[in-house]
Amino acid sequence: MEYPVSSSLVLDIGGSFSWMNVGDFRIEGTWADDGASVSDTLDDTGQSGTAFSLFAGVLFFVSP
Amino acid sequence: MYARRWILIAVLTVFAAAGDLHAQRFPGSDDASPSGFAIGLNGGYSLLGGAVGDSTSGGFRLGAKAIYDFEDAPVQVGVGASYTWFGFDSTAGAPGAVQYDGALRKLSLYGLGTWKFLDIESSMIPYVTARLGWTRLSDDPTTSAAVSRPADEKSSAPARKADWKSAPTSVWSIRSPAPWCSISGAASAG
Repeated sequence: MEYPVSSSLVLDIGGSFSWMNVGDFRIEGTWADDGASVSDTLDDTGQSGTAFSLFAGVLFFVSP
Repeated sequence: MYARRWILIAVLTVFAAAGDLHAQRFPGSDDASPSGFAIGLNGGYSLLGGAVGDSTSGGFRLGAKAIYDFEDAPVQVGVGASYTWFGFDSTAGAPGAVQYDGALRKLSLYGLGTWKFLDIESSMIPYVTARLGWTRLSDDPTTSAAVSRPADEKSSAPARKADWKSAPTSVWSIRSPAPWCSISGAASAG
């Protein structure tokens, strides 16, 4: 039995705006000269961030 | 770094060319709003703002999604993921902090709902998409490095990436779940 399938290619262009809640930004490591450990937290801790994106792509549809 | 950017630009060009080819092949066809399952691939450019935007530069983004388009309603539902490379520089940070230079990677996983809000006799179909999901920013250890030590450390001599005994394990975590909503542009078919 055969199932006819149609397909279609769609161009997708747009932009998006996003919001996110930022957690901790921690830097941890070891200095090479004396082996001392380093740990630091930046000031952005606990604040919000946004992202603006432009994108282009394709959608490939399959319809039975 | 430059090779990766050129590869991404090439991918975007192929995407745009593929869509344009379809539009030329099926002018005025009735399948401007196809229904059924679809797989989508996209690339783009992204900027971070808000409290975390001061230390980051724009980055290229690749994304993929799987959706289902309902035949009897102008809506779609689906899931998707995107990956973005940002530049990161905290050298303008507070005195005494570790100065840091490198790259951030942003991974997002989300569910989405799309509403095609205008039914027009055109090959262009405007829509809005809302996404809700989880996202995480983390550093790229292969390109990130501390560039100086805090003044109150034993030595204030600059320390480059090679001076690190081990790769920094810095993490910029996003509290989960990180809700984000987006408004997207237009889809076109032939």
